[in-house]
Amino acid sequence: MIAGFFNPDVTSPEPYIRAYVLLPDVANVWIPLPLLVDTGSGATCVHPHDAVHRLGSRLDDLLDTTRWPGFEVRGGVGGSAAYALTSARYAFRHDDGRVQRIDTELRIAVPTAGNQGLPSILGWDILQHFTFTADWRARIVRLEP
Amino acid sequence: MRRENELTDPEIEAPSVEELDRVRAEADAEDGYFHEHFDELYRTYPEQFIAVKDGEVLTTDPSLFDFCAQLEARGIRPYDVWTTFLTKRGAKLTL
Repeated sequence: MIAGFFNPDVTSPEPYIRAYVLLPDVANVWIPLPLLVDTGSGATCVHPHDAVHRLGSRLDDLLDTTRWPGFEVRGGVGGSAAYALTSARYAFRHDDGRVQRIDTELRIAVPTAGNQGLPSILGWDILQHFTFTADWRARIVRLEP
Repeated sequence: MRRENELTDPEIEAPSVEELDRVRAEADAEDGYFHEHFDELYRTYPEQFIAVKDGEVLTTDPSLFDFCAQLEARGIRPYDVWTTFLTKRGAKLTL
């Protein structure tokens, strides 16, 4: 079981899971990354503040899509958004001490006026590997195999 | 966080629990600071990015571009200090 948490600084439910991410094309380090669980998203995405602060990306690099191995435009309720694609390794720490690794891709949002402060989100590319529980009344957030 | 000149080993194993707990402890210290001081910081710098080092506010700005530029002008990389976006607008988000 992987324990998550609700954002303690807001009064509305925001369920988060802490993942650890390693980007093989960038650096050989595991980075803790809190991800807002979004069951409406097909993919896990990092937004610009986390990209520069946690992943060490430069905003200029994010704007230059020719620097990235892949690139795609995804749709959402706020309209379409552009994402750089890079391979990623995720690690999740179970409460019994096991570490679960998932190799897939990560999408990093190209900065816009509207997405700079958005939380990074955990989508179904990762969620499909787990049973997800979010119980606001009991303040429980968890992923289970 | 990324550090300059760190190259990637093509055969990267799953991290150890000890490694994850070490990097998590660093992140928890940062998250704990912003949670503990959220109300006072939000009163002064609502809906802004903020950088803090050793309890001192280094810079704030509502634009991530300007925020990063201000840090860069001081020779500071955004991943070398504690930063967050001070917001209460989560309930208004529809992702």
